[in-house]
Amino acid sequence: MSVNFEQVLANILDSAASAFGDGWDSIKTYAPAEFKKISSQIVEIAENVAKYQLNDNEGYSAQTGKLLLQMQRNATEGVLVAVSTLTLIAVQNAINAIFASLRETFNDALGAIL
Amino acid sequence: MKRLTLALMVLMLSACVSVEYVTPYDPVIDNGIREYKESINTLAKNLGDQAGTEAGTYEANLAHYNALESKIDLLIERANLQSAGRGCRLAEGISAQLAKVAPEPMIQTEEGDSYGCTERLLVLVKDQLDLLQNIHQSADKCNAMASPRGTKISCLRATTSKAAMKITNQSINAVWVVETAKKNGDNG
Repeated sequence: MSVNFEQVLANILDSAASAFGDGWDSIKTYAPAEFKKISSQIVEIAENVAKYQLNDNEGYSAQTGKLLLQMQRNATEGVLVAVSTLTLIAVQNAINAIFASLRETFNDALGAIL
Repeated sequence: MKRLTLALMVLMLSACVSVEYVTPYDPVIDNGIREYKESINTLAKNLGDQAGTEAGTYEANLAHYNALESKIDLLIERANLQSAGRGCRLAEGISAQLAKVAPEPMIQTEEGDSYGCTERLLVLVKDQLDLLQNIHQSADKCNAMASPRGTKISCLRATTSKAAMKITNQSINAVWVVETAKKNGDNG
């Protein structure tokens, strides 16, 4: 079975959207670019293994392809962990900004009263 | 009464410290991962160019791998100290998706939280190095350029090197993008 870039990407994007749920919107910039890379790398691995089977001076062996796929799985986990952490950082920054603003406002109010 | 309420609120807000869901920005990790990226990319490029020669064999490059391993171990240890070794725990949905592609649970640890995720990202970078070594040592083979003709030797083919670096860089950039976001948050 041939591996198609669009199919792989659509599958990854669909899985990611359901995994991140409501948080998906906030991570739309970094994640899709990385998912595109993942998709094209998976397709590239399949193509190179096929090339090797025709001529062992080209591409790389199935054994190498398997290990590269394992590397790709690690990289995918890294992207997902990064995306989750980026979401937390965004939330953290927003909360801290809100509290900083409240603190400033209420300090002023207290000064006027006392 | 109003004054008392307001005073109490001010006290509460003044006492309130900033929330911190992730470990703070660490310039040592930021700079360390940049240096690591440069070193591993240089090594892989050289290995691709030297494929088929004695200089490109796994055995001839073991010292380079050891140096890289020490670098990444140092960063992992630093991240581990900051997270108190609790591990990385993500939202249920994400873990469920990961479980579909992974043979064993990779991220979830019972006592984990988001503090342990920087360490996890670095461990994944180290895993990539282990796999690269594995490919170089046993999976990739090249015809030896020197005699005897037809002898197969360990190598990292140029095509393999390119693919492995694209993937490794994706893992390294995941650490980088997080540290940059932390840094920007600190400065903002």
